[in-house]
Amino acid sequence: MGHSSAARVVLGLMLTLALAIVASHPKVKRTSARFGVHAVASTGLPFLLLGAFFHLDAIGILSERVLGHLRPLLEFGLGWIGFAVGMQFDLRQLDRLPKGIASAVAIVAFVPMLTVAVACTPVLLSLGVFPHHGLYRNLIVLCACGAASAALDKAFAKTGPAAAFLREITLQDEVVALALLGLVAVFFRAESTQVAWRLPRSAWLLVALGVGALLGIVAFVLLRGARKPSERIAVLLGTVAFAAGMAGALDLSVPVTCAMAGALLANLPVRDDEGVRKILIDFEGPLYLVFLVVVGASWDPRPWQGWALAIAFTIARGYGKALGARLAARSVRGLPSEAVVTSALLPQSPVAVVVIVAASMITGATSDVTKWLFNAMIVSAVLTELFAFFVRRKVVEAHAT
Amino acid sequence: MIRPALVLAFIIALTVAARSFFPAGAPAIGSAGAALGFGFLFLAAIQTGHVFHALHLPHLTGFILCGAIVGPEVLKFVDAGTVAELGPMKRVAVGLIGLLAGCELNVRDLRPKLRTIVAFAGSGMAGAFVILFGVFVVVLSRLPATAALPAVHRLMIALICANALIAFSPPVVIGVINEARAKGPLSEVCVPLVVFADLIIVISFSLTNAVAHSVFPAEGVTAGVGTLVWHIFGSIGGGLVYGTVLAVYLTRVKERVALFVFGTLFVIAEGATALHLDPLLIGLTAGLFLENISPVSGSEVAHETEPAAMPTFTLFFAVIGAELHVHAFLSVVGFSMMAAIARASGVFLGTRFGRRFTRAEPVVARFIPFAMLPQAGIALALATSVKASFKPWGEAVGTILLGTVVVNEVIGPILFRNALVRAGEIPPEEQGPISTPAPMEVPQPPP
Repeated sequence: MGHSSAARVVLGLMLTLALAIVASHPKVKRTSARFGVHAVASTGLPFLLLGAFFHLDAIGILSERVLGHLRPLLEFGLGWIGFAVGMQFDLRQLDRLPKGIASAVAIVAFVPMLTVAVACTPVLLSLGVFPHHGLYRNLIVLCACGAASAALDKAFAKTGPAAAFLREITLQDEVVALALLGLVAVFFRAESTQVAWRLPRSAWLLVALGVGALLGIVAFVLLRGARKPSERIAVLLGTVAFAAGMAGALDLSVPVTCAMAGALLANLPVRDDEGVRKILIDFEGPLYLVFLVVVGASWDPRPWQGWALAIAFTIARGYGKALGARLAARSVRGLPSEAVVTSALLPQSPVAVVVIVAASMITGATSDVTKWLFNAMIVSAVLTELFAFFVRRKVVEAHAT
Repeated sequence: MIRPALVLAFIIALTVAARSFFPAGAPAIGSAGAALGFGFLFLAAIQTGHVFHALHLPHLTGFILCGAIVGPEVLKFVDAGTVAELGPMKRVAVGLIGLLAGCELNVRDLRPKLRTIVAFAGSGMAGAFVILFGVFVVVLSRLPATAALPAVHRLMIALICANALIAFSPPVVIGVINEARAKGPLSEVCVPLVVFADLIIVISFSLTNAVAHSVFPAEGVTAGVGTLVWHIFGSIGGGLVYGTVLAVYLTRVKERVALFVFGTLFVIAEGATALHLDPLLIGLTAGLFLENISPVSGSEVAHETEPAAMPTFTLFFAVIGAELHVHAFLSVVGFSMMAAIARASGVFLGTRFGRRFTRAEPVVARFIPFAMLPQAGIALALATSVKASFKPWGEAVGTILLGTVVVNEVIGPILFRNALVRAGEIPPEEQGPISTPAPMEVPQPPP
């Protein structure tokens, strides 16, 4: 590495760090929350922009070579996020909620999937993405992205006991998104000639389930032996890296395999499971930001096709969530009003970006279509978060009074 | 001990199974292979650490040996590319080790012990240097690669070898003390002593290296006094800046301190490599600044970063192990053992002589040589530098040096931990197996 490029890398790292410090300062947080800047920042846009900026030829910090070096980190980040999502699938927690939770999750996840499929199919076809070009695969990926909602905003605490119900829905629809990604990983996997195992697709489904469960047991056994918090951190870091590496090596979906391991772990009697969850959450935020910087380097907002898809996806998903919220509020007892449910479920989950990246990694799709999907997710995340911010303020205030 | 051994076997079986996905003899398995290697190394090292602890041996030796066995030279579960990719993590760990050491060093408390530290460090290094020099003069006259060289040249090479091998290992000493939670006069003196010696070695080796290059000129070598001055004072300056940043963060923001420290150390690790600075010295200076100058207490930083320290150290020592030149060691095992014994003898004789100049507590005087036995990072770096810089004899001589470091790297921590036990500085609960069952909750009878 030459002196100038070394200096640029150091400068870039310092800039990232400075941004993180400034963003985490309490005063900055308060100010950004007041003016709605927080809403945009929460989508991770600044970090995506930073990644895209670092990737510019003139800057050259996140060059293709550096990105190649960071790829294991990307796998690890995907694994960690998947593991954290899986850990949300605690059946004991679900049993404590009103009985309609499964119906509510099904309605608010599947209705937007349907609207997204209906709206995006003609757009993709008109853009030249036909069945033999991966139309079905891309549609399932878009549907998975449409299903997931961001974690419930703190403002909804004012809505009383229904907030717990809503929170659980926002957690479980991410599980639905990863389940769909798992199907894509199994049924649309890119077969390499450089591997020793030759299995039918249905067998890969069993392999995926088996590996996920096995890694969950590994995590459980290791965590049972860990006595100190620092050892639990070490074990979790190692387990997630091991799970991510194993899934990646077998060409399985990294977040899905890790989510299965996490889901199994969540339902086993782990010592200090709250501590484990806290570690996962503490590391998830920064890892996600680093993940965004890295994927931001692959973001190309220039093609108009990405914007066309973004508009179709955003409207279809928003409409689908609103429709799903209406149906759920009417049919499931214990949910608050339709307006509250809609504003709670409207923001798009960060898992959507994870789904796009993971899908492109397992299917080997690095085409322009992947870039369009990626752009659509980013644009949709920002637009829905901004819209939801203003709706939320209005709805929650009305509900409180 | 049975449980971690079984878990280790299970993890190995899983890794072997995953690797069977690829045809036999297939090249590295890409980024997934790196993540798998990283995770495997981490988990295997933790379990090996447990096994070693049950055997009353330091975790750290377990980490190192585990890295060596599963690494690129023996079982090859972790390939050389993965080990190289973990380089930044290793540098972060070195910075963290330095920072934590600095945070523990209160100059006011240390002042009365300064004489002891200087006397033992100086005498230990001098003793080791003299005996190693003598041994290498004899060895070099018999080694095919150097036997034909003029006597003056052989003396110069012996000087370089002795200088490289007197290096101690602050990370290992700090690591053993931290993992055993050792407290007492010996532990208090060990850390500043090895850190002080580390500085002396950096200076003396750079000077020797400069002289050696005047005797054995090589292309592209620009090491000189300017580089040395930049390396030391640049690192100290960087450490002061870093210490100030940490102090400001701890007083103004004070959120997610461990994460902030880790992030900044990552920047420092990358920056230091690019700018030829020493992350250990930067971390150490920052720690000293925090503890002794800034209004922030060093122990606060140490407390906040404690949860991240164990994983970092585990990985660091496992990577150090994976980098071990096992084949090179086996080819020169006889010479290396001889050099290691010579070095240890020199340290013991030197410190015995050094006792005359200080009124150290008996426990310190008796056991301090054991803190000087472990070697790792800096000694490896110096040995590698000899191997790479001096043609044609550097290859053979560097291999002997690397072999000697391997011996001290594996045996040193065991002997040092044993010395801490004998000095009564390790609490009894840390001496036994870590996997002792947690106290059971006994149901209380109803009142």
